[in-house]
Amino acid sequence: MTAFETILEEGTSNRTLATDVTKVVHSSLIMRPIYELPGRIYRQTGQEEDTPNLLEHIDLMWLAFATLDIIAELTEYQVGASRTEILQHLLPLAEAQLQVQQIQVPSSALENVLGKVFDHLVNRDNRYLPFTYRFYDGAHHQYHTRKFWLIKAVYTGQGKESFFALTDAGYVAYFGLHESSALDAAAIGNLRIKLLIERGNVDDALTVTEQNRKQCLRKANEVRDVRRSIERNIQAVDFRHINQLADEGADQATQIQQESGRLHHLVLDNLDKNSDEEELRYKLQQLAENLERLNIQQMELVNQLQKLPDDFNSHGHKLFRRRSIGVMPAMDTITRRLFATPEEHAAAVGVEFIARFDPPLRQPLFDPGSMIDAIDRALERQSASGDLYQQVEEEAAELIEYFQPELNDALMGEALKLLFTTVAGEPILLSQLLAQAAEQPTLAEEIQLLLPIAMSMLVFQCVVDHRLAEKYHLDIEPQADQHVRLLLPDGRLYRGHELLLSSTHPSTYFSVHQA
Amino acid sequence: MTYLDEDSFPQANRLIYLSLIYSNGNKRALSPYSEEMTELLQKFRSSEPFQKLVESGLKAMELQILTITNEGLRLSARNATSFFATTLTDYGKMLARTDNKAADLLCVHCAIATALFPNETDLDAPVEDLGVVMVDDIIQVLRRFADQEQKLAPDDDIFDPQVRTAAQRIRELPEENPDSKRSGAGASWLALINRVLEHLVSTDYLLAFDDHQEETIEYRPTPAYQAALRQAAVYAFHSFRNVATGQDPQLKETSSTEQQQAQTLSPQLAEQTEEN
Repeated sequence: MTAFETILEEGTSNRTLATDVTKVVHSSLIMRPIYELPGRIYRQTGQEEDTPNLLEHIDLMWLAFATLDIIAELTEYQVGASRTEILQHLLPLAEAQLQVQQIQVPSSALENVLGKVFDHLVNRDNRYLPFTYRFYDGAHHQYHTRKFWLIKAVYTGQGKESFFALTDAGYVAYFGLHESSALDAAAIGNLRIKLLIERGNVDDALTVTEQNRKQCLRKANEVRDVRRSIERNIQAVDFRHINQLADEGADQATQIQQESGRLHHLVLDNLDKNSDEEELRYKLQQLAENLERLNIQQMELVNQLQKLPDDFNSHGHKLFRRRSIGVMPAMDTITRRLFATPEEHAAAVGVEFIARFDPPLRQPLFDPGSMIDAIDRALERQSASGDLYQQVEEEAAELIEYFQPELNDALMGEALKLLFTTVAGEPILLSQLLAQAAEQPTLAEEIQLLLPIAMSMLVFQCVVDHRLAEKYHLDIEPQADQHVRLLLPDGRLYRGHELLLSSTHPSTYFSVHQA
Repeated sequence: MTYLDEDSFPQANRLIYLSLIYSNGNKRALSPYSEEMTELLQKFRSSEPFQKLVESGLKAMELQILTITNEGLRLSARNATSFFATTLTDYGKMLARTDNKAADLLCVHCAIATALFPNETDLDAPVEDLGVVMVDDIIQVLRRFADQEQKLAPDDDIFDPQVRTAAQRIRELPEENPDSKRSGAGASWLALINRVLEHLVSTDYLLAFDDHQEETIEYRPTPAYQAALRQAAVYAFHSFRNVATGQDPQLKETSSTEQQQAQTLSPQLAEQTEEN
């Protein structure tokens, strides 16, 4: 409770000029956004050519209050109204204004202005934050600020559009009430209900069922929430509230049920009378079905509502549960305290909380390398980007000649195969091996020519890299004082030490040694 | 009975180093060391001298253990001034926003925690029993508290009425900002909650389930979140208690010693001492 509200509560006992003036100022602040509206919009659109003309002929304040009324009406049966929905309702009203003066304006220009009216009322320029006004409190010789919304975005958790609803301040502004005591809030509530009754669309049965269904759903959600909080945290639930909810809710639901039951009869009567028209019959039947379903739904709701006190009782033992050993009190109580702490204190706690709750941070050290990288990147961005991604013209392009080894994979594979088959039997000398390679008749000519060379390369690799030799299970022993001189089929001369190749593969190794 | 050998010092440092990586949530950097981590954790659990060694090392680095999992020790800074502490700016970077206010974030964090753990026993209950929480629930908690603070009885109101409260700040934020995708859009309840939840999910504190037919995401707490809250919120709880009791110096003393105890001992040890 602010200091100002205490003045309001104290009533007439110590009224002075200062308190009275302050009170009037405080309550008329509510109207300020609406009074400011024309000026704001003139300022925004002053430079344009065609709009000032329009603004002179349109009653902006009328439209502002119309916006409030439209939202009030739309939100009676839904959580909020979307911007497009509101503007849709507003457009014909504005057009009617212009028609009286016989002015022709493109509707896009009109929509533009109406959008600005709405944006001002939701304070879109200031990020949908509340309107903030400073005023002087004469009784305390101080300045205060008053913050309020007229129209506020409601969180619904669904849909792509956001929904807007009137706040209490919005209703106060619409009804032009000057709040002088706390009782006014109740009066405002009554006015809302009256508005609903006066505008109630009782003739249209389909809409009524739809509305009733929504009411029913809303009530069901409420019941679900209460039940959940009973299960989770019975301490936070007030039993009187439960009882009240059960009584009232049951009454309310039975009333709706009776009404829709009456409607059901009405529809059935109509169905008998209008048995000729096919389309009407179909619609009426649809309606009857809807109503029946609604009835069932409401029965369930009444049951649930009446079960609420029982639920409370069945979870009642938790109320007497011993406080747990932990050092901490329940979250609910803490959060209440937290929200009541002054902002700076909460901020200090918040900083400490973040430090203790979140994982430790890797501190960046100064790294010259990263600096150079960053400079490089900056320089690259400066150089013309065309250089990096130059496209090659297809006609000018020539195929790049890649190196094609003569000893290709297929050839080496053949050589390896031959090596395995010949060494597997018994140890063999290199000269014999090369001679065999030269005389392989089954292969194609180009492979045939190069096969001894591939074979010698393979043996050479195994000599150089002992791991390769292990992989092929080869044991290579140089033979002392023996040399090879061999003319290969393609005219090359092989010269070198004689080597004895034997297999170390378990199967052959043992067979050789046992023999 | 195990004792300290000369390898223990490097191993303790190694455990702290690997746990820092683990706490940062860098799974790729940790994966080659998972076997080593398991061995170190086994040693940590089995050998009391080693445990003390690690804890003194952590204390020297102004770190604390939030919880011990099978993948490592979950660490956090011991206070806001420590070298490793996550500051508001860092947190803003992690959330990819710069205009955060600590008081707002704390409120949102507390609202999430309240939605998940309304009772004090919930902090010790198995996480499977706690159910799920959706953004709607958190918004409702915020609504409830923003209202409740307004309705506090005057004698409960220990502050100068001129002082702005955290609830007032929250009340002055819109629930939803329809322009949230615009670059200059300000904070709103929904935006704050979503950002905080995203970060909680990315640090494995919460699990997000969106396989439900409706398009709302359901969040489930993990034991790590529960434990982290138990440890990290101790400070918050004590400071609130101080505020609530008009900053009773005696209470402050006892609470700070309690807190120190809770910090110096690992959670397991703290439980043991309580039993004794």
